[in-house]
Amino acid sequence: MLQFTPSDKVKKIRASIDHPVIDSDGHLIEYLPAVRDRLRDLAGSDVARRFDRHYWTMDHGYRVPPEVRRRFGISQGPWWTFHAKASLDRATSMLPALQFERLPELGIDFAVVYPSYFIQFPVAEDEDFRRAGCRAVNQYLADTYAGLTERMLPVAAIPMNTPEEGLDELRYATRELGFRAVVMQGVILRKAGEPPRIWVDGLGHDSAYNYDPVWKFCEDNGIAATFHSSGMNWGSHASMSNFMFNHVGHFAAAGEATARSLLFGGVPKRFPRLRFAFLEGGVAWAGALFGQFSGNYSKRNGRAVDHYNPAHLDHDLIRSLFSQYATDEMKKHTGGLEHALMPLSTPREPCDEFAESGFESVEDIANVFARSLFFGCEGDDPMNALATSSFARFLGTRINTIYGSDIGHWDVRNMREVLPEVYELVEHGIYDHDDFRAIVFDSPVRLWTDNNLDFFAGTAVESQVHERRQQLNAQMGAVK
Amino acid sequence: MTKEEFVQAAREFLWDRIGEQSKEIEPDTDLIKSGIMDSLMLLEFFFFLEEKKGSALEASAVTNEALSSLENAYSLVAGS
Repeated sequence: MLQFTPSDKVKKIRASIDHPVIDSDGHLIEYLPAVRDRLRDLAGSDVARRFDRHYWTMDHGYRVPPEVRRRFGISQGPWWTFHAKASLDRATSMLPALQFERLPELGIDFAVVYPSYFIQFPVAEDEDFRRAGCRAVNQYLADTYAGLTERMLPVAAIPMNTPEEGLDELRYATRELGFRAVVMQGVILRKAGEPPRIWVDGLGHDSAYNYDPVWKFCEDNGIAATFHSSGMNWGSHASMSNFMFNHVGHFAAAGEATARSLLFGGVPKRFPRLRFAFLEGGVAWAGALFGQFSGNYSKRNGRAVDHYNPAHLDHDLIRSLFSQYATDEMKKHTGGLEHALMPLSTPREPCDEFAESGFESVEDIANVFARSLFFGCEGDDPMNALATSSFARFLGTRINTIYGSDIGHWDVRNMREVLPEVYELVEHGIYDHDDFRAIVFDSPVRLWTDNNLDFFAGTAVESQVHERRQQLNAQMGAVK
Repeated sequence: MTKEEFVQAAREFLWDRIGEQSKEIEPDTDLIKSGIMDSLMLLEFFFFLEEKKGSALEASAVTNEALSSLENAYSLVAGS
């Protein structure tokens, strides 16, 4: 009989903190034969065969020469992404009952668990495969985690190619299966034109659909909109031959695409009680997004952009300065000065490119970041150093960082090290204890309970969350 | 393998994957424009062709045109 005892490092950390550790992004590896049976029962044998083909080609595509893959736009996908030497950890990822038993050993009190293989489903073009696949995974997760929710809650996979299919699965997953958390496909690769050109729909700005009914459902039902989309196979993460090339930064790229689209589309402004989380991409891109979004806003919002209105150009002054300072080569073309001033500075009707976002000031943007957006980070990301209260003061907003262990995937070589790894920031003096508590407890509490006070009801951390929720409310004012 | 034998084998290959729709496929049907040759099918069809040829395909020969119909694909297998 295996004994699952915390390491001395974990024991020491746990003895030094007075709050639970919530993992907002652990992973389960679905048992595919069981998922396949459910898919067959839901959608028939043809769709089940497509499932077999998907997983077969996933592992054999590398045999097609890169030259051919380049010609047909087929990039190198993941390979060897699960543990082999760490076989206990591999089994732990596949067996929720074993996960349940081992969480205390890892120093984790509660985990929100995301599936792994499911990622094939919400991105599939084939509607039957996409929708039935998500449903099969959701049924599997609901049944597999039944009885284990004291320490773990799974998330339901939500296809998002249209608002209708998103709403359909949201209703089914939350009302029929009882899910409290969901993961939505945040990046839809759509085709347009002839020959077809792929464009990225991030569900907000310029989306092919109005997703407000989806956001409203989530807001009204206390569901946080979380995204764990892949950034591979599009943009710059599409090498024909190198998985690692495609992997570096891909979660950040996907999270950024969705977050930027939602911000420009005004979604967080229209749905102030809704909380959004972008997982596994770290926190660095979030700081960059705030800095650049608010920086551009301050210089090019509807009022500020008038600073660049060509009508204000003092042509006499420019001519005078040219006569004094221009090079001989420039002076040969003095007659072309007016023409040279035109490109990208041509008179036109101005427009407010931030109008759709609904933001009215940089302070407004900062408040929305601090209120509505959450960013998942793994323990081994050194850029988690940005998730400190001192950096928040410098940046001008708080970047809500939520800890995600990523247990179950290759990034975590030893599950027993996930808590010591994230705690290194305290040991190295980067985090104080409040910063550490923020990423493993306070921010997760806010993400999951800001709009659903009962999220942790019946779990091992319910009373501690309730107590902390009261303290946070007192600090921040009533729940918005 | 003759062209007729190849087309018959390819139709069986497609039947296993797309069922009834495969009945409409003629030797000159454009598999790409018809949407049959998506990225998943392309990978599988590549391995089907290698199996029929009995050796690796010449990468430079696997073009859009070569995969656009069954009769064109036969040229990859027959090497003509």
